[in-house]
Amino acid sequence: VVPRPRTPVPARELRPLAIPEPLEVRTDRRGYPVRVCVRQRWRYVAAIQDEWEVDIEWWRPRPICRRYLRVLLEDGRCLTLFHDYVSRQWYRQTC
Amino acid sequence: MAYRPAHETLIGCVYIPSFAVQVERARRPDWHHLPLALVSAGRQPRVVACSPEARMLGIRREMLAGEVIATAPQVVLAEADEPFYRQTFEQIADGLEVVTPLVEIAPPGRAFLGLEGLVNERGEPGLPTLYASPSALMAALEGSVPPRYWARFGIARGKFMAEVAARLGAALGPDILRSASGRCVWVADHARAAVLAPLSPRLLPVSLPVRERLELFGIGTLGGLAQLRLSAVQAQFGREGRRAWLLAQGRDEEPLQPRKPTPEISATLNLPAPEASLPGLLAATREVLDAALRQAAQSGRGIGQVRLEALLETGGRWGQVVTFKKPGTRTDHLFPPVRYLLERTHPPAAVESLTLTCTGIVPTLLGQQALYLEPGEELAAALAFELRQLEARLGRSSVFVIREVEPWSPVPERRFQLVSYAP
Repeated sequence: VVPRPRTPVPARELRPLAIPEPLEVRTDRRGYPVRVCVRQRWRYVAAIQDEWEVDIEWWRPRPICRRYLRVLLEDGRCLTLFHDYVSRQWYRQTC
Repeated sequence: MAYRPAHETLIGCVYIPSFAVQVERARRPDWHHLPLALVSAGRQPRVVACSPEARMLGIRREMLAGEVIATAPQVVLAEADEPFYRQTFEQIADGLEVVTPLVEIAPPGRAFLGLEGLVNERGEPGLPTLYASPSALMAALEGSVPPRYWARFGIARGKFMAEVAARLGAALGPDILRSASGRCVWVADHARAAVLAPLSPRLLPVSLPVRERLELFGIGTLGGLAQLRLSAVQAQFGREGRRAWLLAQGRDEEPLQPRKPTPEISATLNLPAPEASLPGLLAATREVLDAALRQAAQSGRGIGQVRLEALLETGGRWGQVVTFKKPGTRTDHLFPPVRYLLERTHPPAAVESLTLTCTGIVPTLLGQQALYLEPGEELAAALAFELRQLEARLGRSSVFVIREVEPWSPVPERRFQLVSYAP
C-alpha cells in the first residue's frame, strides 16, 4: 500500500527588527568600554553619554540581564552597546 | 468483496504498552531504566501513566503527585505531553497505512487495522492476495512500527479478540499462531472460544459497575459468562450485558472505524526568541493563521476548525482546538476566537514555535465577490496576484511590513517585527 504523500511545508520565521549584533570591546578595570571594533576598525570611546540596566524575566531559563551604554566614539558617532550578563558578551544594539 | 458482519472481519490490533512512557523514554534516553511517572497539568497533578519500575514501587494511576513523592521519592515525575503523544501516534498510524489503508486510532497506544482480504488465510491455490501467508502479514505488521517502540500485535476476527490477542499474546496458550519474534499472534476462528474461555471478565470493555456485578454473581471467566443464556444476562445487565455476552463468545459487533484522510493545512512559525508575552504570541499567531489561510485560499476552501500547538521553552507542548461558528477565509474573521482562546488559556511557558493546523476545511459558502471591484480593491487584487507569483517563483515571501508587537518593551528587538505582507 502506497503511503499518502504529506509534504511538510517549511516553517516560517518571524523577523524581529533591531537584532543585537556581537561586538568586540576592550574594557577598563571597571568594565566600561574603552575601545570598540566597528567594521573591523578599532575606535576609542570618547565619552559615555548614558547608562541603564535591563533585568527582566529572571524566572525563565534564559533571563534577560543587560547593561546598556550609549557611547560617543572618537569619530563623533554614537553607538548603543550592551553587556549581556548571561552570555558575558558585548553586543551592538541598533534601535 | 462480499459483505461481512463486523465480527467476521479480520482485524489487526497494534498495542504499545505504556505508550506515553515509551514516548518519553524515546525522547529522553537517560530515563530508560528509571522509575517514571507522568502527571497531568494543573493545580492537583495526578498520575496518568507510569513505568513498570514505578508500578513496582507502588505507584498507581490517579495518585496525586504529592502521594507519589511520599510513596517513592526516587520516582522521576514529569508532566504528560498529550499533544506530543497524539502527534507521535499519528505518525505511527501513518506507518501502519503501509500495511492497510484502514487504520483506526484508539488511544492510548492502540490502533486497529482492517486486514480483511489481504492474506490468503486458508492457502487456497490461485487466490491473489497482497500477503502470501499469515506469517508474511505478521512480518509486515511488525515492521510497520518503528523499532524504538516496543509493540505487540494481535490478529483475529473482531476488534475485541484482536486486542486480547495483542495484550495477552504470550499467555494465550498453544492454539494460536505466533510470529518468529513472538510479538505477533494470530487467533484462528475455531480457537476463539477456547482462547477466551479461561480469561477474566475484567478484560471486557464494559463499565465498572457491570464488571463488579459480574464478580458478585461469581462469574470468574469469560467461558462462564458465555455458558449463560443471553436472555438471562441481558435481563440482569441490559445492553451492556448483551455486548459482554457476545464478546465472551468471541463476537464483536463493533465495526472498524478507520480514520478518514482529511485534508489538513498546516503552517509553522519559529520564533526568534522564546515568547512569553501575550502581545507577542498574538502577533505570531496572527502571522501563522495568515500563512495557513493563504494556503487554504489557493484551494478555494474555508476553515471551520484550527488546532494551535506550541513548542514550549521548557521542552513541553501546549495545544488547543478552536472551532469557528462559521467557516471563514479571512484572518479578520477567524482571528478573534483564536485571540480569545489565547487570552483565556495562555501557554504555561514561553513559546519557541507555533504550529497552526486547519483541520476543518470545508467548501466556502461565504465571501461572494462583487461583479465590479472598486478601483482600490482592483489595485490590491492585482498587487496580491503579483506577490503570489513572486512568492511562487522565489519559494518564500519577499515583501514584508513592520508590525508593532511590544512597543513598550525595554528590549528593543521585541518592539517591532517584520511579517510577510499579505494585501
